[in-house]
This record gives sequence, structure tokens and C-alpha cells, in this order.
Amino acid sequence: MKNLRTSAICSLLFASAVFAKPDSKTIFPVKIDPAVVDDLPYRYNGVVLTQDARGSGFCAWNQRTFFTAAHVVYGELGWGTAPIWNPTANSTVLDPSREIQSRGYYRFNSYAEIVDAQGSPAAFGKDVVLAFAFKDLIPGPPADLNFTGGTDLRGSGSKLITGYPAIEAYTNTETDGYFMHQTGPFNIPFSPHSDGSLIALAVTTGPGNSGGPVWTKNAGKGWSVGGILVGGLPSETVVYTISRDLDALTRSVQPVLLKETPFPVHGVSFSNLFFPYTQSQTIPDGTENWSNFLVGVRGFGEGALITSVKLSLTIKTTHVGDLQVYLIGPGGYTALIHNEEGAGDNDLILRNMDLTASFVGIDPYGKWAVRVRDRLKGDIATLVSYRLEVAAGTSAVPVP
Amino acid sequence: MKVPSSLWSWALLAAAIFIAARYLSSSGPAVQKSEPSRVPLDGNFVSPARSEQPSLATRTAGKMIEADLKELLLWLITEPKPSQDEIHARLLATRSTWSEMDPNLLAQTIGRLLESGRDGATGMKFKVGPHGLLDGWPSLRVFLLDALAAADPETSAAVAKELLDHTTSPDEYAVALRALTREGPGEAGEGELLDRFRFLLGKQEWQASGGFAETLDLARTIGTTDAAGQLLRWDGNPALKSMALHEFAAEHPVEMLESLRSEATVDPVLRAHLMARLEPENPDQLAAINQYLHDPERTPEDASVFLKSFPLRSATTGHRLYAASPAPYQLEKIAAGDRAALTLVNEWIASPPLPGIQPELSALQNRLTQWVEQTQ
Repeated sequence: MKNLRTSAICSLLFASAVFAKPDSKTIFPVKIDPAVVDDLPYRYNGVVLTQDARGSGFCAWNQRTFFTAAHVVYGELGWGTAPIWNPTANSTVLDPSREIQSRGYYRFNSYAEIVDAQGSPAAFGKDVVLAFAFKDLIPGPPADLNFTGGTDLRGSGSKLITGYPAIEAYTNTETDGYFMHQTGPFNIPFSPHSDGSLIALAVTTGPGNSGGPVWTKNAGKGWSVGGILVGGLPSETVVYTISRDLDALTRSVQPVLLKETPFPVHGVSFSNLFFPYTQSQTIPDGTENWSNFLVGVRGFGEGALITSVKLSLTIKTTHVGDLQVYLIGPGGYTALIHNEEGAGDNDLILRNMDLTASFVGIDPYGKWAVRVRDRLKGDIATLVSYRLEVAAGTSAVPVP
Repeated sequence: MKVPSSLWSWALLAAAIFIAARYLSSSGPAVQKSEPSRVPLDGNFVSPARSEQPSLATRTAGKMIEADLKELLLWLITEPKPSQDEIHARLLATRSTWSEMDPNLLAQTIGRLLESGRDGATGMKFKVGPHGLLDGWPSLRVFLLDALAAADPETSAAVAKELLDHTTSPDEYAVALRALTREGPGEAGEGELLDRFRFLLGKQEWQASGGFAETLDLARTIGTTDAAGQLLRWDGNPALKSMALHEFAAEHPVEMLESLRSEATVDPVLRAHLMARLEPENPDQLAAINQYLHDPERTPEDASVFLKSFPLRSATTGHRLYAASPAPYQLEKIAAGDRAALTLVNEWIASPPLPGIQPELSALQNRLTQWVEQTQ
């Protein structure tokens, strides 16, 4: 698949392309020195092949997952064959023995955005997929994701684009084969474009580089991925920014990864805290009104997101079927704990009830409430105690 | 020892203040108790009033919600107008504050405010955030409906039903429906949800709205053959329809298969992709797959579309209004399905040739062989 096939890459990268004369201020992609192909950050790159198109991608979050642009893999006919990953290619012809057939990919999208995006640049804001394989895509750990990529790309820090442009956008010249290119490093700040995507002028790549990583370099740290190249024109580059939105994507992919995957998520820390409520309280009997038993949750690092919530609870009663119980998180997130089940059984006792599904990915800070009511008269219930166990970290998705 | 009269006066005054303070503190409703020292952080207990009559605190809280809304209405039109980020932050903070209030009161007050008809545009797009709560509210009425998430579920459902019967706003309709889909008291039955879904799909004039688009998640939430059938018959936005059908099929393949069997007019490419989502590890579905490919009416083109994606385990995901974010596949099931699919494909290749699709069959066999080896 040497030549660029007809694909959405063209429509996105050259929607209204007019090939201007090269401008000395514009930063072009150049072939990397072959000697550094296995060095950082080049070692995370790969060619992404589908039936109809070629693009770029990078191994990140997990050793068996790679990110690329949605328009590289999702064609006009919708779902097709899962894309092929070819790591650190740097030659005229791809070596089929190095190819890894991915098992599939997850695309992050919403119904409302489909309506919004029709005929508008809003499509850039969700032009990302996370593909997964049953085999390691690269040797060693995956690339670090920079969850403040949007901020860093807008700043004046160092940035770098890597990947496999098939056509040099500014001059419309076809590149030969599958040679890894880099655009930059450069310090040009990106500007807001549409729905979270960013744009930089005087930076150019080309079709085939779509899905490649846009690296950011922070003081004291190496390169991490701040964005994904999704579009542009000659002398323009549009980037999907890495943000917490990706947590919804990685959470969905997590169940399809092999459990013994050896490398953890990079640049992520987690902590686990307990919040007990130990004041025994009688629950008003025979009323439609609810009682809230509150604890304040705090003590996590800045920007922490919930990775796990467990509840242990003891309510003494002689008729558990009277009770309705919810856990309410800050901001109105709710989980139904008990809904008048159990008829005349004694006592509602829960031990480490896993409620993660109802709260994962939200900010844990604020007041939480166990909310109880007893609508039937005659059996007095008492909340003896409860204990909330909350785990949170800088990404909502723990080690797969 | 004599005590100076001035000291007696001071002592009497202090005693009077102490008694008055005790009286005042005990005469009001005991709505909120202070935090006991052994409860960590700011834990406390908020009980309802003993009687069913609204307490002073309840009335005050109700007025607070009304005042908040009034302030928001004014703030949105005040020059210079607040930015989208400012509006977003303030509405999030307001929803958070309201979620700590008495849930019955919250539902009743929101119902009253919705009845009043007052509204203000925010300029924001309709956007669903984590766990079905909104992250973008085009209007304050939509925001009020979103805040019902933390309110009493039965009262919220009653408020929502009242609105669903009369509203002309697809965004309001979308959020109000959420109150009927939440597990627990207030949850509507399948029949009512199907009726409301049918009504919604018939509203051609709503189809360009973000709220309308997000309601398509209702089919997956209901999860029945009837719900899939409604979607399959819907003559609306093909991209929306395709995404909703695929999310449905990924979670409810049996129901999707039943519905496909009874709907003859489904676009062949869409049918091929939906069939590719079936579970080969399930004998009944495996038989349906085999039958599909051997159907004499199956064109090589349709069969080719099917074979290029079968077994389809790619998916869309994101924040959804009614059900949890889609995460339909697990490693063990994919591996079992791939093994069963490989056995079937080997049979297809060994049996009398299926015309015109040998290259696709061979490519599929190659893919499945790799995947099976990788998971063994």
C-alpha cells in the first residue's frame, strides 16, 4: 500500500487545499535519521493500514493499544476490517512479517456530535480511536499521555509531530515508501479551533501523517503525547487534544485487554481513602421524606478522578423491605443501593459493595450522602454506620 | 459576703440570655445536627421534619432554589455577557449545591419552576457528560430537568411525565425521559418507554437537535426486539441510526437478530455489519450466521462486506444519556467467538465454494487464525 488510497484523509487534510508556494517560515516534515528510529519518542510510532487508507498511529496507554485518527480507520462504508499496525517502519516497502493485525478499535463519539459535525469542523473534536491487539505492539512500555495536552500545546513549549506522511502537504510531492518523518521541534503555540481541537499555522505535515502523535515536552520530563494529528491544510495543522475525555474511551477498551499485560499506565498515580460515618441514627418511620447521612470527601491530589467506589453499610431493622437506599455523589451522581427488596428480613448489611460503575471518572471532592427512607410504618430502622472507600488518581482508568 | 447589685444584674442578664438561647435553639425544627466529633471531615446528618408539613428550613431551601434560578436568569442577560466557560462552571456548581438539598423539595420546586414557563438561553450545545448527567445545557429549563437527577425519583418521574406530554422542545424531552429510565422508584415500564420512543422518532422537525440525537440511546436502554424494530424502521439520519443500531446490536445481539429476521427492508450493507456483530460462540447465532451467508439471495458484494468485518468487535463509546457508556466486549467472549468463527470459516472454505468471495474468506481465515493463536 505504497500509494495513498482514496480515503477520508484527503477530505480532512485537503478539504480546500490550494498548494501555495513554500514559505520559509513554514515548518516541514523531514525524514528522521534512521539511527534514531528505536529511540524516544520515535519508537512509539507505527504505520496504520486499512483496506482503503494508510495513516499513522502511536502506541500509548497500554502496550497493546494504539491511537490513531478515526478518519483513518472508519471509512465511508462504516465498520470494516480492523486496522493493521506496523511498528517503527522506516523503509521503501513494509515488512509483512512485522505487521500486527489489531482485533478492533473503539471510537469516541456522541449522538449530538454527529448532528453538530455534519458539514462543520466540529468533527475534528472527536476524530480519535483507540485500537487494541492481543499482542504487544512495541517492545517496552507505551508512550506517556499528557492529560494537560490542550494547555501545553497552547503554550510556547517545545512540540514535535512524528508519523508517516505520504504526501508533503505544502508542495504536494509524494514521499517514497514508509519513512518516519518529524515536523519540528517547534515552539509555535496552537490556538483553539473547534470543539476542543487546536490549530497551528506555519506548521505542515501531510496525508498519511493523520493519527500521528503531537508531542509536548515539559521541564524535567521527556516527550509525552499532547495531541493527535487529525487534519490541516498546507501550512496548517489541526490537532485533537489529549484530555480526560479519553478516560471514557480507555475504560471501554479495558475489558478487552489481556489481564497479564505487563506495563502499567504511565504518568498516573492513584490513592485510596476511607470515609466512615459512625453516628448511629434512627431513620424516620413511615414517611415519604428522605434522610441524608453526609460525609465530606477530600484528600486526593489535584485533578484526581474516581477510579473506584465501595460502600460498606449497616442498617438495623426488622423489616428490610421497608427501606430504599441511594448513594449520592457530589454534583448529583447517584447509585441505587436497595429498593424495598427482602420483605421481612432483618438488617441491611453491605460489605464493600462495588459502586464504581456509577461514579468512575468524576471529581470525588465534596459531600457524599447515603440517602435512606422508610415509607412503611411499624418497623423502626437505624443506620448504625457506613464506610465509603474511594480511590482516585490522575486518570480514571487504572492499570489494565 | 455582700455581692454588689451591679454583679447581680449582670448575672441575671447572662442567665436570661442563656435561657433564651436554649429556648430558641429547641423551638425550631431539628433539621440539621452539628457534626459529632468522632465523625471525620464534615460528616453530618440531615433528617426530614417530623411532620409532613414543610418546615421552615424546607421553605427556605425552596426559596433558595427559586432565588438561584432568578439570579441565573438575570446573570445570563447581564452585560457583559458571561462566557461559556463561566456559565458552565456556575451551572455545575448550582447543580452540585442543589443535589445536597432535600430530594422531595428539589423535585417539587423544579416542577413548579418548570410550570412557570420561565427560561433563559445559555448559548451552550446539548452535551451529555459522565453517567448521563449533562455537561452542556442549551437553556435553563434543560438545566432544571438535569438537576432532577439528584431529586426524589418518584416525584421527578411525575414532573417528567407532565412535561413529556406537553413540551415542544426536543432537548427537554430528552432529559425528561431520563427520569423514567433510572433504575428504582420512578422507572417506567417498557411499554411506556416504547410509546415515547415511537412518538419521538416520528417528530421530523426535532431531528436536527442534539437532544433528539441523544435520545436514540433509549433503544439500547430498553433492549428489546420491539425497540430494535422501531430503530430499523426509522427513516431518519443514517449516521445516527447506524450508531444506535450498532450500540444496540453490540449489547443485545439476540434481540437484534430477531428484529432483523422480521424486517425485510433493511439496507444490505447495514444488515451485513449488524450480522457481523452476532456471537459465533452461541450455537443459535452461529446457525443464523451460516444461514445468512448461504442465503441464495445474498449477493457477493453483501457477503464481502460481512466477511471483512466479521466477527465485528469494534465499537463506539462515549457518554450516554440513559444507559452506561458502551463497553460491550470482553476478552474471554471475543476469544471464544473467534475460535467458533474460525471453525465455521474452515468449514465454509472446505465445503463447496461460495461464489465470488474466496479472497475474503481466505483473508478472514488468516485474521482469525492470528487472533486465536494470540489468545491461546
